[in-house]
Amino acid sequence: MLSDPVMKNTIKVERAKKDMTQQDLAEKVNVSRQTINSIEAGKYVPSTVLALKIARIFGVGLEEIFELEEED
Amino acid sequence: MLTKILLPHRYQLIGWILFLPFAALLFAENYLDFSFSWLEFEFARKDGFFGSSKENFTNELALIGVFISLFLIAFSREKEEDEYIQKLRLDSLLLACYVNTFILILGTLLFYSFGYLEFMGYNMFTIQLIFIARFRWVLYKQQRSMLAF
Repeated sequence: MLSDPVMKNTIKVERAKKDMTQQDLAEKVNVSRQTINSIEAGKYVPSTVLALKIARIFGVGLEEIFELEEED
Repeated sequence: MLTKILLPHRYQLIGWILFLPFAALLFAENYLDFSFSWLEFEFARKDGFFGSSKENFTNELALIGVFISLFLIAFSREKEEDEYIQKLRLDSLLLACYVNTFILILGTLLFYSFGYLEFMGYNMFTIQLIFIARFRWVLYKQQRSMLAF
């Protein structure tokens, strides 16, 4: 049986491109730094609203940041 | 969506400040026979089976004080309340209810008569205490792991 796919994200990479800290991003999308930290670590899947806000800050499409990946 | 039924953040501090004196009062009332004389009222009930018509309300004051302070601590907004914090909050509440059920079953099997009454007395605080302990612990661990970066 196939296992459920998990969501990966490239927030860390996008942040590096824009030279942003977790705190900068957190303030821009109005959440705590812990939240950004947990999303990057793959411990928390953000709500659609938050995901859209993050994509808008980076100026890219949602699927360039978040994608599904099959677990091994 | 963020819930709107949490108290403002400052109530958390008020809760912590109130908790210690009321908990101390509850302990003193229960085990050291302490009571405030100004809380003694005549004719609180009819003379009869349960004793005289006098009733001292120190116990009620202490219990309500502890309930309210735990409520303030548990259900005040965090400084930065967001969807992730609320997920942790909900998880912790669920866990507290699970543990409470488990403790109830265990206590029912282990304690009888007045021991059971005393156990149920303590059990009134289990959900709040476990919720607060678990929620604070997860937040603390988060802070620690972030400092490691």
